[in-house]
Amino acid sequence: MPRRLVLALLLVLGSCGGVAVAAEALPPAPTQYVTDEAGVISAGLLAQLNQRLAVFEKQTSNQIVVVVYPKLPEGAALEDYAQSLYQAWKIGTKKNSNGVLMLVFVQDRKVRIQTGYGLEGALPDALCSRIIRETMVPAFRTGNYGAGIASGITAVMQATKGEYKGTGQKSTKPMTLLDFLFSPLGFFLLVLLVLIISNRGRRDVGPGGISPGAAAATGFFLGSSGGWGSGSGGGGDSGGFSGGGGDSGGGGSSGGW
Amino acid sequence: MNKTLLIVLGVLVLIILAAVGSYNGLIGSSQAVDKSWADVQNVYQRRADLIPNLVQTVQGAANFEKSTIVQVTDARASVGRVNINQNQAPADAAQLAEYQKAQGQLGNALSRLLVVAENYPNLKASENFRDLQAQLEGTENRITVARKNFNDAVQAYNVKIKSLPTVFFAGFLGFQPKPYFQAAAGAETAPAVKFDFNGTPAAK
Repeated sequence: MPRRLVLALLLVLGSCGGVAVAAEALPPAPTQYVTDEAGVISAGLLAQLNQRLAVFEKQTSNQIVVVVYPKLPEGAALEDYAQSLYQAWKIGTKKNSNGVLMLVFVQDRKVRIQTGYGLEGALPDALCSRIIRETMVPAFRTGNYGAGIASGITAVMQATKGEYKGTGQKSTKPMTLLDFLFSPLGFFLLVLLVLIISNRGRRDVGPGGISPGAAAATGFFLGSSGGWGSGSGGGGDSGGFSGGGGDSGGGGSSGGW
Repeated sequence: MNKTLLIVLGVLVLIILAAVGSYNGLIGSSQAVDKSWADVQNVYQRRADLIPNLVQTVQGAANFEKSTIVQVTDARASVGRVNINQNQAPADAAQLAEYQKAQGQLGNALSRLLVVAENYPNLKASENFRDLQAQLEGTENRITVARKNFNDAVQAYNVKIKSLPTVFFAGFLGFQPKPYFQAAAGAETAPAVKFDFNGTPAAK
């Protein structure tokens, strides 16, 4: 059968396209603007900084993400690691890449400010270096991490606030087809479609023209996931960070104390 | 007879479709390689642009070691002598290696200059020099990133050339594998530095 042969050939061709790439083990993207894994920032200051950076993103669309870690992973170089994290977390909007990633490694006594492509102009390397040397490191030397990070954030906000105009909303990930299929609405439509197709062959239409299966699915959807809008999309107004698709070319500066 | 004709026609259409698909895919990845090559050129140019200001600044320091400055300006000049297309990724591995060697020498000369500058406290304390140092470090980091992106793009392209069904058409359509940046000798393994505070400093 030539038809079966062609089908098999197509299947083989299709499966040859993909090359599996092992993903590096990187920490997942943080859900807050400021995350303290080392326990050096007080809860009150942490909440205040998160609040300020959420407002900042709404006003300017710039995303500033700060993570304090106890130390670098074994064998990782600071600059490489910062670059990998930036690319994995996609800070800043897809259009402008207007993000800043600030990393502090307490035990290694290392700090890095990594800029996205879109903020290299407003926050050049020399300025990052000055912010680290003059604002953050002096506080870190006295063990006052919270204050050093807070003033570092303020300096970064000062430098980048005029660069882009915010929309009053936070960045949301563009919904892909896969995301849609896994959202309650998409899943519901999918189930409905399958039921309609399978019922068309059998012609057992229930009362009122709707098949029993479809009616059951509708009931399930309405009953179980009435609030589908709140869970999906990844943006919302919950106050957390969610990457917007930005990228970095390795700009920024590092320092130590 | 009619059936055979249909089958032959169908196979022909299939081959043409596969060729067109291969060609489009290869054009796309080839352009991605060229784009990342342009990014590599940009960051190398950015480094070259910093050199006049850097030379001027260190010359201002009293008795600055002249030989290190000469090495930097010489290395920069020899980068300029390497004949390489700015807009299109090199097709010749030897040409890329020559270019990489020249840029590597410039990088070495620059880092030597920064090491020597450590011995000049007045220079080190000047804001201008510190800014330049931060810019140079940032640029070196950008170069690392741009070269990695370039190698990734080349890898995607080279894999595509060798995978089915493209492998049947790539040579015929004039697409050849492209060369990578090579890791610098010894760069794959981090240098082992040991401090021995009891006896003589041991380096491995």
